[in-house]
Amino acid sequence: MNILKTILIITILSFLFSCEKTVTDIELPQQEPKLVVNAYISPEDTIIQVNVSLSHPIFKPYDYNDNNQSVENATVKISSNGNELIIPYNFTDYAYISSTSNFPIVEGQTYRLDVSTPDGKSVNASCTVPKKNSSIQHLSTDTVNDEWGGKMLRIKIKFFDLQGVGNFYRVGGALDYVDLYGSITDTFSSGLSPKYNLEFFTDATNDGEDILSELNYWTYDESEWMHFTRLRIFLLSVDSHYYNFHKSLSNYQGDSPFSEPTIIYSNIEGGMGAFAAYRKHVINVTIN
Amino acid sequence: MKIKFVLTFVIFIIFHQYQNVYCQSIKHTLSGFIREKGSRETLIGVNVYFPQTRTGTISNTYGFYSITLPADTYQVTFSYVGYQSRNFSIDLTTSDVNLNVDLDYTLELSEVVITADKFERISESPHMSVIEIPVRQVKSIPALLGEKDVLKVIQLMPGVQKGSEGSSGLYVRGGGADQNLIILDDATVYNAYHLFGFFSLFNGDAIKSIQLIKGGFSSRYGGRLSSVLDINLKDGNRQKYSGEAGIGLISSRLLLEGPIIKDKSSFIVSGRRTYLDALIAPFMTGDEKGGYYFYDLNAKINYDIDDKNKLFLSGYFGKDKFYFKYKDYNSETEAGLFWDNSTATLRWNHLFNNKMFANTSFIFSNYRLNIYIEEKIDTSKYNLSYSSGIRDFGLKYDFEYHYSPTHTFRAGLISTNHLFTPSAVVLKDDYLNEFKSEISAINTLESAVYIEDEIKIKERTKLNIGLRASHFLQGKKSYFNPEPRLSAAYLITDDLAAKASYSVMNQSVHLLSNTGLGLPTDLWVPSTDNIPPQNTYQIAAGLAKDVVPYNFSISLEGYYKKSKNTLGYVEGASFLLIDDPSEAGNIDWEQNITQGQSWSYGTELLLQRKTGRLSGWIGYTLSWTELQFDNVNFGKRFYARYDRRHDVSVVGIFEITDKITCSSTWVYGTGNAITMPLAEYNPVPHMLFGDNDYYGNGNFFYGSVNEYGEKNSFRMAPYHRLDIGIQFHKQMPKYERTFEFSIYNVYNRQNPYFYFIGYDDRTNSRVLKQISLFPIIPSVSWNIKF
Repeated sequence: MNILKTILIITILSFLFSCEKTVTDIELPQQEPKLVVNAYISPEDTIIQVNVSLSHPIFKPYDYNDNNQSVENATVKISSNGNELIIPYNFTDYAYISSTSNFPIVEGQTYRLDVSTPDGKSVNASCTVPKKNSSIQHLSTDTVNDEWGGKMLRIKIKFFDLQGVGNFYRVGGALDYVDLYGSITDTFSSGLSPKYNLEFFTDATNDGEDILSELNYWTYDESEWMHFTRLRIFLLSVDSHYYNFHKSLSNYQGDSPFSEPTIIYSNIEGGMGAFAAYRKHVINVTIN
Repeated sequence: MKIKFVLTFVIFIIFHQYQNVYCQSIKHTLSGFIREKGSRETLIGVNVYFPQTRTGTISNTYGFYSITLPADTYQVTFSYVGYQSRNFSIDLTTSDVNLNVDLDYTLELSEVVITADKFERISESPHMSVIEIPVRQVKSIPALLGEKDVLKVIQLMPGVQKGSEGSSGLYVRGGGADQNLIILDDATVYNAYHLFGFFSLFNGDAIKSIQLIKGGFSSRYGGRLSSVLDINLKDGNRQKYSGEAGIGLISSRLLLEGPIIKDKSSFIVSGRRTYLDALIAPFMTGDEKGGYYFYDLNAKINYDIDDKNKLFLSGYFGKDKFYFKYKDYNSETEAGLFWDNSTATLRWNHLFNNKMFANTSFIFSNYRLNIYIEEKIDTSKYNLSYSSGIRDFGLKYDFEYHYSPTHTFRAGLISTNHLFTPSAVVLKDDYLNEFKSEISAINTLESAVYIEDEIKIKERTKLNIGLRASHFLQGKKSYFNPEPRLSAAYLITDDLAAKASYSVMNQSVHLLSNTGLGLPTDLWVPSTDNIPPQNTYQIAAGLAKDVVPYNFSISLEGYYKKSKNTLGYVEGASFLLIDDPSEAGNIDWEQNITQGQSWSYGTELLLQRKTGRLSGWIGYTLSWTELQFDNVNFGKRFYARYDRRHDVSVVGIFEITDKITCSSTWVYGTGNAITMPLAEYNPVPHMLFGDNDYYGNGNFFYGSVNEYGEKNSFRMAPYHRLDIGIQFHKQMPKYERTFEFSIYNVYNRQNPYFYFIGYDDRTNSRVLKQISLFPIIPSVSWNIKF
């Protein structure tokens, strides 16, 4: 009986305690740091901004000095139709920045971005500026009580999809307010949450139709709304790189053994990140 | 077009055969039931063979056989694996003969040296891709913690893989764990697992037969893409009361069977329950209590109304429950999670005459998961209950017509009403004075009609031609799909056959699983307007050879499967409801899924010996499984997680003496394909307005993200494991006792369950770490049979 008892205890213990160890029996993926480049160009923007940094290979020992720092010594070149511009590094904004007056961004035109570093890393990407959609309408604004005792400001909007072309959109909104509590009277903006799954979307299922959307602002303190001065609604017509990159980023859940990892989109050849183009249409709505 | 061709072909063959039939002389029919001597349990798949004419048939699921031959006298042999063959002289010159046969179970040790040379041969069967495992073997193979498990034995067969360590889920020829139709006495079992898939519902005690079909499906089966696991329960001993009992490390079992009215009616009940909760209870304080248990219960009764009508009523009920209770000075909390399965089948066998057999089944099946929290603080109460499930009511009618040795027709229909409850939330809160009851239910009707003809052309060719028409109705949306089925076998030599098959399958009920681990939180959902049924076609071809002198068989098969509307999950999708069950109703599952394509192909080799002093098998599978979804991995094809290039299993059962049986299994499989982070980086998203720190809707993961490379491009370490077991049998005056000792994972291989990125302080870098589940685990059990 004692033997039986011992076996029983050993079994239960071994069953309950799974084993953790460092993996040594398989080859781990090894790679060199890659250039990470992010830039979004638009005729509606006044600047071209290119962010450049380096990725950190997972199994490379940490060096806190070089981790995820902006790369300052890269050559960043934007080109289109035989014209090109070398964009200089801006030490205040930690990015390569130039005015669009030096290099205009034009609808329908394809742009190429080349980034290289003195140690031999070199990446490139290209994108084409999409058509602008400015058909957005503000339909209504109302409030709803939510089940947790808060209130939600609900702004309904509508726009028309351009038929026949593969369109990608992003909608968003901002509430501008003056901070009356502090001594500063700066204007601040609060983002509005687009309805679930509707911040980035395609017209894949409703090409050429009206698209209804909703923006929400949620608060416990209704008096906050008294200070709003302006509501801005944005409709961005974006290219596929812009859409895929942001969509995958918004799906990103981090690393968990129990969920399928989200692969972040990249159109940077030889590196990571996104070089994308968009059009921006803004309408202003007065709040009563 | 394809269907038209098949139909023309069928009509041609049938017409051609009829002509032959009508040109011949007077015929008579030999028919009857085949039973086991002693228990009078009917036997399924017994070979009835006429050596002179080289024709034969096999007994059906209810032990019935029928064959019609030209008037003459015949020698006939009844043979069945593990039983002594019997020979009879039959006079069919003047009239039909009714012959009920009882076969005697042989002790394998006596090695009844293949008395009849016509044992069940795989080269004789028109079917391919079918696996039959004698229940006796299931009971001899060593198992985790001594819990015998039918599904885990099936995982040892080529073409069938397990998902993760210890899991009972079946991945058949690249299909998912939810693509298997598991039927227990005609009733669909939706969740066949206990304890998160570590054990299955089927421990073998009350089971008469197990058949797994991987391809070349008969038109009788449908509704799932990848496989059919057809399990039949025993009917119960009709002669005397007998039973079996067992005590193992984690559970105890009891089976009782016996006649209700001798030779007319009998019953069988079998049950199993774990006692981990009882064992750990003494270690818990009075204020905190928790535990886990599962149990199953099978019961069946049968009644012969007369020679032509028989009734069977069978049922299964099983439940898993985790619970936790906590008490302090002013509050009491109880929370838990349980899931239960129940099935019931009422079947009526009717013999119209000695050639026509019919069965009508009324089927009920229910699966339910419940998560509950009950809190009592002072006088106020808080109750939350979340449940999801599926409930079936079905009617099935199967008809068999043994027209001639060259033609056996089968036809039938099935119609099932599925009631899906993806979520039902009931919330009651005294303190906030809230009451909420949200139940979302979807009612659907799944129906099918089928017809098939099993044809024998000359002596060497066998064909099975069938057509199934399936229909699925959800709301106003209905899906209709024809499913042609064809399998053919040609006997090249007396013991070598070439076989080929083609089949189309559709699946309208889908399982959403956020983990792939077979957790009970997985959700069954129907096809809807936006989600058409999954569809697959499979082509298989192979060779089957019997090596008669040594009593073993070899089969080699190749298959190619292409599926469309395959269900997948959008990246980052989550169905995990435990986070906040009260919000479960708000999760729109249709948003989280996507449909794409899959390809699966491979080769399977099986060398099997079903009887004898040394029995078992060696299986090898070489396979590929790829998936493609437009919005996963940016539309590029990738390997499925359980894509397994090589899979080997060796199973040996050796009866050293009458009293000692040794057994051993060894398995090897290529590691799972997973997505591994290569590097991390800080992407910069586009700011929508201003240069404020607030961005977008706040859903963004701000900071670093991982670079993964291609989806599922990294392979985990291969899986391998050796188990051994030894059984000591002893005949006591009134019962037979078996003492079993077994060791799981003998050489203590640490197989990875999952990987994660850890940190090593010494080298100041990250390392890959793994969690493995089961180290070497010995177990003992004690069983008696009386």
